[in-house]
Amino acid sequence: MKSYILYRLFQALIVVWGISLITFSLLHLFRDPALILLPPEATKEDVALLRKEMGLDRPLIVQYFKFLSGMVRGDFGKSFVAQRPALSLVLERMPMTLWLAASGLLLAIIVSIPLGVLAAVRRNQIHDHSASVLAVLGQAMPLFWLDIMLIIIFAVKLRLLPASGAGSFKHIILPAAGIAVSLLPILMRLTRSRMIEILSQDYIRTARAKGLGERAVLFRHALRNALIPVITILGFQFGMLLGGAVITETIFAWPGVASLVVESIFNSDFPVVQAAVALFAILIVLANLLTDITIAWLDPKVRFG
Amino acid sequence: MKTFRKSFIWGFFILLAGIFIFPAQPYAGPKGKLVNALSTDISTLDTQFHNIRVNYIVGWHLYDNLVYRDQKTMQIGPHLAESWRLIDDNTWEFKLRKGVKFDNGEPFNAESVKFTIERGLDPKCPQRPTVSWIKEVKVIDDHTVRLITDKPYPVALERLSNFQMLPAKWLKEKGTEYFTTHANGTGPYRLKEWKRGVHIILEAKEDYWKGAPAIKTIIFRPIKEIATQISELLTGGIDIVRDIPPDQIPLIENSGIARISKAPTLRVVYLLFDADGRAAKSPVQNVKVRQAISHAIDVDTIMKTVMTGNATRTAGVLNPQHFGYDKSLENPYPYNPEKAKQLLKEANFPFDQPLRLVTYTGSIQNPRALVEAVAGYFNKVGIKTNVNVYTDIGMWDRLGREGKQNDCAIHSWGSGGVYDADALYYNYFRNGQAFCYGSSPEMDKWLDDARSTMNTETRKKLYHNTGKYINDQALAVSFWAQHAILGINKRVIYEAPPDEFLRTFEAKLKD
Amino acid sequence: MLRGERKGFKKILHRMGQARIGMAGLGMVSFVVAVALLAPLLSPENPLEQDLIARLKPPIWEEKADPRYKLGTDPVGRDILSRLIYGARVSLSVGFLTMSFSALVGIILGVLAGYYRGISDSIISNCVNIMMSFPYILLAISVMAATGPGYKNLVMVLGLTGWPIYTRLVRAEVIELKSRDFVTAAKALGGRNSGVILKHILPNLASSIIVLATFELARMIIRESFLSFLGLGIPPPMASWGGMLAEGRSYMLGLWWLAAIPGSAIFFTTLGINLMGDGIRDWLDPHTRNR
Repeated sequence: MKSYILYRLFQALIVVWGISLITFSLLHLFRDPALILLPPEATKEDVALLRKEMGLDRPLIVQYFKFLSGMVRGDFGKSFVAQRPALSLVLERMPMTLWLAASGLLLAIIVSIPLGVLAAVRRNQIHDHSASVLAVLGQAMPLFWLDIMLIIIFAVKLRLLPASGAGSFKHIILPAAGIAVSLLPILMRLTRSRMIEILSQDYIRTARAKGLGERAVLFRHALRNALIPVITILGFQFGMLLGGAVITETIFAWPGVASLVVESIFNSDFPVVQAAVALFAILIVLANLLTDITIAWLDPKVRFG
Repeated sequence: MKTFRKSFIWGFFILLAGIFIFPAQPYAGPKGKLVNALSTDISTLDTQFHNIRVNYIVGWHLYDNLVYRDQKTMQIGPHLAESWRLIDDNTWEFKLRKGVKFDNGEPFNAESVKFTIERGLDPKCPQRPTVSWIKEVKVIDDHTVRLITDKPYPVALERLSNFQMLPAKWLKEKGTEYFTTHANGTGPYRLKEWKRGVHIILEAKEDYWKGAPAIKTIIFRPIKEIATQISELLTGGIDIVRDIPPDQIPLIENSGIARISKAPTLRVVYLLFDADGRAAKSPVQNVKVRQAISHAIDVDTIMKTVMTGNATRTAGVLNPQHFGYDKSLENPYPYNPEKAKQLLKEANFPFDQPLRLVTYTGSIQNPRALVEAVAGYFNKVGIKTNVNVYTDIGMWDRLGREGKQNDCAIHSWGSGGVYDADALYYNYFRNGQAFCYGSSPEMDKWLDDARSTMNTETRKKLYHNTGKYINDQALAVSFWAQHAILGINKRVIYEAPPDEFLRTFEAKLKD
Repeated sequence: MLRGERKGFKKILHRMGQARIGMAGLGMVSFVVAVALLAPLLSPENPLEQDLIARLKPPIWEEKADPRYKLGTDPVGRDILSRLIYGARVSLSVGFLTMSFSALVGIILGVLAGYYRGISDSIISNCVNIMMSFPYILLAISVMAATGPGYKNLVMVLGLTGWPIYTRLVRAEVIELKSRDFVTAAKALGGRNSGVILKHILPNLASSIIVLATFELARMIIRESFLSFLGLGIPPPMASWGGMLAEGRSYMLGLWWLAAIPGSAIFFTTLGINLMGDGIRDWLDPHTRNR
């Protein structure tokens, strides 16, 4: 068990390193922050001077090692735009994105698991079909369109909820709903197919034959086992959440780190982008790691196979 | 199974009930509060280390400039500087207002001016061009300061109208990093709270030297998506939206809760040719091709349709509000697609080669519709086009600076609040400047002379020559001056500013 | 009798019902494919032709409509119905090309990793992990910034970011298949690796891949609209649903049709693809087949 964890940790480090390398290359090869900071009237000499100040005129390898040594210490440099340590900027806004992601995920789970179970148990009846269609709705709508529709319906027309911002419980409902709808299809489908698989297995028949009530069969035996791959999926879904967060945060003016990242990419604010991407990579890798370890602990086949 | 369903349905209704029982409170509630939407958050509270309009807007609420353009007369008048005179062509003497204090009590005086200007001259400072014409600052006494220049600089006052005065002692003590997140100005408001990405809350200063502003609390909320800004305006969450798309004007006017306020601004939109072939060899280096394209675009129709009539024709690229504008230079190439086709044939235009047509989002209204409409006119006379809309101003600037903006680029220029032809012509038509794609030695001389003499008649003539040259050589196709279109809640008394600097410190609330 | 089991006539009806969803999906997708193929015949106007005076006209059932433009016009006066029809070509081709590219790369890498294990597995698996944890927006924006937006670049970017999911699936299945008796038998009988792969492994992967590819197709179409939202989609004047939707989103409150129409097209198409995918999966999955 221990060696497995160590191996996975090592793998995680490689992933984080790989991501930082790719990010660094992409940023430095394609953008130039000196230009966003200076007004268009600035002369070529002004630009050259600023680049020198920012250390952008050194060879790429040198810049990369400087970056790497800083990253290991948690120092990503100062944001070019805000002139404050990039990492603290990112850490400041990370909680809001995590809260958004968690709320969305929670909402998705609350809706999709019961739906998935229902669809599995009442397979091929009207419940199953309508649940399928409902779930698929989430994958058929571009998220930004859905988000704006939610604002129009619930904020402008019905005046029930605020249109944007963050601050009270009411502010999270629409953004979380958008995210939940995009996660619904996968979770529901997975739950359904796993439940179907399990319900047909022998030990379920045994449990039924033993005379256990249907509810006990469902909960105690089936559901628990069905959820294992669902948990796996959650780990990897976390990575996909970033894309959804970008859209949601932009439209709802939600002060999270995803919109900060996109802005920083467009502003060539390297330190912030690198800090955010690194942090996200670590989180995703950790999430995957945790779920994998949990599964390995539960199911020895995965460990040695 | 039944219980499953039941609990699910119950849960749903309880959630719904909760929403009904606790109705949403709109953000802007009682009197004394005004909420502005910004398209992006400010990047820093350091008034000098940025280049962004929204930073200026907040900065003007917190700090003052030496001089101020009266919004009614459009004349530059005293602000922190009470009076000024030219001692000689290269020396400006300013007499400063007495008794003005920064928020922490530090007095505003000549030292503040000297410190602020010298800080701005730092090569790292993005606002260096605003004061780069100043060679030296001399403190004469506490309330008298002299600015020494290399050459006579006619646009001095215009530049100083957008250069916020900073507290020397406080800044030296606290340092630059502290300054990025804290404010200490002489302006009408003080900073109460800045939550990055969430809001900026400003509180009125009762003892502001010009008199306390009418609104107690001003809040700025960064909201990137225009659909969301409009939704907030319609539900009372936001009081002022700065850039209503022209096609949404009826929506706002019929909303009942908000109205539209329009004003012609200083910003001009125009199509610039790579006449010098700076980026690459191009058919537009041939003057006949440029003239043909000028004839091919029906600017009036575009103004009427795509800009919904909210635009004013410009002449020689200049805005009627620019010093140096000459109406006689308007519309040198009337819409005439037949003539255009003829000229193209005469010029042996390579019809199989598409021309690049680029523009960017952020400052131009309806940029996509505009560039596509223009491309449509190109296509109508047989010119194939390759359209590209840059959503990244950084990228746009970089391509411009590196001389890669070919063949035709639709630009806009706000002139930074400087109502003088120098602010536009020098950048775009003086050889060697970052965005110059069409130049000539004559224009170079005219433009250099025009910015080193104080004689207005001479300057007018030089700018007339420049404009005429631009027209004759069709270096650019003048489009129009943009109109600011603001969506304002009906309870707010404020009108659109002509220079795009939102001055809600001058706004009032009804009753 | 186990719950859900049926007898006789009911069973036949039920089987047909089971296929209903998938058939509905297939029908929807076929419709869109037909529209895309027949675009030049179906489209009433030239989708690229501008009519500035008639810009932003509403669909025909609204008051101020122009009878010539049945579904209204866009901000430069182009016929929305025509753009909708030609947009089908763009969206479907982008989706299909990207899906094919990703699937091809993904399958090859997945087989390599799963069959040969060892070093190649470590490298490939790590790459997969890196790619899946990497925010593809960053990749998209950076590459687009360098190459400029365009149809080809869009397909390339989407293709580059879509392969990991295939690799992961294929690798896991190959590992499982490899341990099965018939593969061991084939190898014991002296089959070369490539032969074993081609004849025994790949065919068994087919059903999973087909199901995944179907869902990925829908996802790619949605991704195109996401990139359009960021301003990196198909550049004008080509008509793409994602581009039309992104352009129309600022008008959703007033000129609702600019977003609603392309949005409905995307919705209809991806819904159809997903239902079809559900149907295929149910049909191919041995667990679910006999019930």
